Amino acid sequence: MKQFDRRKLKGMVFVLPAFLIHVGIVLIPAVGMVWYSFTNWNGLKAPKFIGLQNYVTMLSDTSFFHALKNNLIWMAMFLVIPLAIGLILAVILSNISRGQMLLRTIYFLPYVVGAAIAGKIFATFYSPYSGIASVFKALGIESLSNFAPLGNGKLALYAVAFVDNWHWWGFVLVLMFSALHQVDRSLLEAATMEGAGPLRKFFSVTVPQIKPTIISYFTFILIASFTTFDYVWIMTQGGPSNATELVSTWIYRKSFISYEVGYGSALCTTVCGGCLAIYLLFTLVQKLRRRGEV
Amino acid sequence: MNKKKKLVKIVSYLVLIMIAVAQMVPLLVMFLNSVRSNEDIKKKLIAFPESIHLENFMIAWRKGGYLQAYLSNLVIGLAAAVIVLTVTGLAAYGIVKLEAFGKNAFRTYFTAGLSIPGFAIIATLFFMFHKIGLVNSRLGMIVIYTAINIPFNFMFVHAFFQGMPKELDEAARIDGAGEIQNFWYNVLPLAKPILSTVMLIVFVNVWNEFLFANTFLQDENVRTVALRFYNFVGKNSGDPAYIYAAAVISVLPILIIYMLMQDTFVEGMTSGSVKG
Repeated sequence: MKQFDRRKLKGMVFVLPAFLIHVGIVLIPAVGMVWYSFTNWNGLKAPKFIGLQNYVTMLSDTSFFHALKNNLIWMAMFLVIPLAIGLILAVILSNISRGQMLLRTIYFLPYVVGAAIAGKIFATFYSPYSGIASVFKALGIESLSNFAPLGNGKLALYAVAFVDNWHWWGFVLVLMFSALHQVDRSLLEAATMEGAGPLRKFFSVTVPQIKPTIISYFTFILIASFTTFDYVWIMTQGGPSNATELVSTWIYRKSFISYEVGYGSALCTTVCGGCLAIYLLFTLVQKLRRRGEV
Repeated sequence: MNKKKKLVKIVSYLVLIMIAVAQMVPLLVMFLNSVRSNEDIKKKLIAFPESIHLENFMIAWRKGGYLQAYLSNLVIGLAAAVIVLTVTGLAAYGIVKLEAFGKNAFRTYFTAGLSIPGFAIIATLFFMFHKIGLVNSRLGMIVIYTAINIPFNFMFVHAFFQGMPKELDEAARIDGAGEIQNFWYNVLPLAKPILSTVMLIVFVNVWNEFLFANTFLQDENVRTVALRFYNFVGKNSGDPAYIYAAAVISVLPILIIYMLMQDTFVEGMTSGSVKG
């Protein structure tokens, strides 16, 4: 018995390095952020406790709410578009016999290209001087010869999202592809015998079986769309005039450009708290539904 | 019926191939334009090179400070990869094989740690590091990249250890081997495939990481490749050929590793990430 306990103790010692590094670099600063959200800290001077003042300021910060709206648009796009492309192509891909792996490799490839590179390459394509505009001009499409979506407040957010989607849907395809592999073939055959068409089979047989993967995808996107940052910062820095501002870029601006770290922390605490609430709600609903099914 | 099947097959391939081509076009344009001249690109974005301008690469390499950037990435990426590998390997071993005290709490902690966004920590961490002189430091980046890569890779190694047969450890224990010896001689050799995957994931993540690098590395001499490229574009916006050449220089190492180890990449990066 004693020997057994010693082993467990040793086990704990084995876990400690990973645990302590993560606590020191991630958990402590995260907790620190919540504390700083109640102060007027500017990063340098000693912070002063100001209670809920930052949160009160937040309520009248129209840029923050504008950014939040952009995050919601972003979320709506990423809940649907990469999933639709990834899932449809995964279904087609799993029905062919040759070249599956080669195609999968190609679709996944943009995922390994870093955001800085993909973002800047596309920004160059979008440039009015040396970008796609010149292609339109050469083709004689005059109306698009000044095509510069990043400078256009109405298009910029979608132009950036397009790049993130280019980079991301191949990843979703791989997820869906491996989920489809686990679908029970005999059920599909049974459905065929009973005369179900391909669409009917997809929605009544395949989708229910890959539901867990789809739900994890939704959960992931619900949170990730509030923390997304790279593509917007790299391509537009939130511009033109806040048109692509996201909560993350707004917080970044507040913390590192105008040095309102306390205020930035309050915004960040709010957003993270919101994500946590969504996540908990989602898992709770899942649990209740699962219990209901049994 | 057979004819219909054949038609479906042809249409399937057509769709799949067309999308694969579309997906590749941006990268193809990047490669083609990296050997064209500035004037040529400005006239027409998409075209085959009229003449090959390999000097674009020399100019981009020198102007971009890529020698230093490659070194930075090698040092930071490899160091972080080795440390992550060691500590997650030990942690997973402690939890799965030794059934550490509080193993469920640890597991929950790492799972939750997976979803703490970089945003929640960056400001506090920055000013903390600023105080102790870890801003603009490779050591500082190694520490950060190690920490943020721990949760995902822990889960990955943990899942692998759980699938390993227990009998092996029992045999080692009867032979009187210590835990460290058992870990080193029995577990590690079996876990080899997973080890290279972890190294790869961490190295690539570090190569591509933007938020922390952009915030913590303001000094030219320590900047990583992604950041060097980001700044290069800002400074050379009038010379698209150099930008494309710099992009090729920035992405080529990763593309080569990807081509050589696609399965490791795809499986390593997708397993456990979004799956429930």
